[in-house]
Amino acid sequence: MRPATYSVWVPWRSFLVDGDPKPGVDLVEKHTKIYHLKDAANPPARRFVHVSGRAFSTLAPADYSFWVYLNQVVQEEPTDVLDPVTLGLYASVGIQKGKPFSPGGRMNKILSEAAVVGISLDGPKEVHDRYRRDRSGNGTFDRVMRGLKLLQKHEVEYNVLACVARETAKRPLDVYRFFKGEGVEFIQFTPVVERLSNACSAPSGLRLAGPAALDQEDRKGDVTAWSVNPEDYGDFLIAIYEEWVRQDVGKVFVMNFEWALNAWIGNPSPVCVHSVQCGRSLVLEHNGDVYACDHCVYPEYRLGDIRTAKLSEMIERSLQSGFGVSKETALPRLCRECDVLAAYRGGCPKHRFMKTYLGEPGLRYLCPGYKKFFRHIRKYLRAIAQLIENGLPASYVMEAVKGPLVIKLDQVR
Amino acid sequence: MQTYLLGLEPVSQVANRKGILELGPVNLTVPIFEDRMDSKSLFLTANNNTPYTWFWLDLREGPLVLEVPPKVLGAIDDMWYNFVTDLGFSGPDKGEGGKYLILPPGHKGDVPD
Repeated sequence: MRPATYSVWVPWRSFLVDGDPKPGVDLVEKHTKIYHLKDAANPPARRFVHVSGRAFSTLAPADYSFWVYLNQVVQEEPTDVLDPVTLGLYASVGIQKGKPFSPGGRMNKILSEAAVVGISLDGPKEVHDRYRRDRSGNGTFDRVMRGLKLLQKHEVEYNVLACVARETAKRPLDVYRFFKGEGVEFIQFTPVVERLSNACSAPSGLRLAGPAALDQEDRKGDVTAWSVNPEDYGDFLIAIYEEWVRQDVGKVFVMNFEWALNAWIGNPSPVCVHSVQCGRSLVLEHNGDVYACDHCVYPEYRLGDIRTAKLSEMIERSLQSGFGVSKETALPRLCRECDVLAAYRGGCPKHRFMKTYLGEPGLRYLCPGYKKFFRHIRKYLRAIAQLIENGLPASYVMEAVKGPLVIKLDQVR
Repeated sequence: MQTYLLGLEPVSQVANRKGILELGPVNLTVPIFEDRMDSKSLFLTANNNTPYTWFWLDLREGPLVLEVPPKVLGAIDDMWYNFVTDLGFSGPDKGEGGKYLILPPGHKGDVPD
């Protein structure tokens, strides 16, 4: 055997004889030998350790040490069996053979957060269980909360991913205060927008319709009964923002609010839906199928099979087809001239199935809600941006909202 | 994100090796879940109805011989979680047990039969 690395892992199972593990284990202990080829004549004694019921862990870390471990393997082992895309991506975070891995403060923070776990939780029990059910129709709230408590107990960093469906959107503060009460620090809201299948998507056996065609009239079905109403989604975000900006800045991080601030101060968006172009997150299915995006796992977006095609070629094909690029190039005039374009960037192309009042296709279903939200929080963003510009903590905005915020000049850097 | 996903395999292997080497030195220690595994031991994808033998080998000091017992089902994976060989029933020994010679990467010396 010629493995490609110096360290190799050997697991095997032995089997029960009439329900008894002992005969199989005895065979293992009688016959297993490990010795260097040079010591074949005189093999050293190996030590069998019985470990059933022993508390120890072999699980990968979910914090900064993830990257330290990765660097360790890249330094210790031959890397010639890895493909150039993988090596290039490792290098993009500063991990390269023969080079010290020493990310600076900002990179360190980004990498620590990159290894964070996501947990799907929509709010208090009655909100979560309305839509989040298992196959037998039972709510999953209690099980999700058990998982959340476990993560908290072991101090694993996590991010709550909350879907906002039609009824959820009517209870913004119940949802937000529930998360705060449970000690959640990182929250990301995702609006639920699905359309029923129709002539286009039904033949493939799918119950929900695929992404919108951006450049032509879209003939797919209506939104489902659980899809959020656009205005409601805007009001939902506004209500939570109003409480956050008074009480929780610097303590609770709502990703949607961080993205908005990021856009306001002119940074490129870290999230695909608010980026100028998208299409950089491929999806790999259990059977080897690769798709252009996790919002687009539909037959027409299949790029190939990972077992027979090269990843780099599939990415190339996806970009050449205009996928992700058309997010920008197919924006209708109403969007291009919109005062919140810099923050919104047209949203996810999958949901751009509305027409503008000028009759152009490619308007996002959620446009009215987002527009309302971005316009509403502009005054707060302006204040926060000014604080940051002067080297002051963003959390001062909470004082500014309460009354005049007095900042002595010698406090300003 | 993609970097994280592509890093999962080697990182998982480091964590796996770290956990196992807490039980004793490499190449000499053979942990066995003699009465199967339960949730006290934190492992990926392990089952709770067959006794696992689960260890690590290190080839930095030269080729190793591994004598595999009869009636097992297993495999060898490298640090990138790439498959090296099956062992036991699905491997070359067909469940009868056998000797496997494992060479370090780039080994150039003589290879005995």
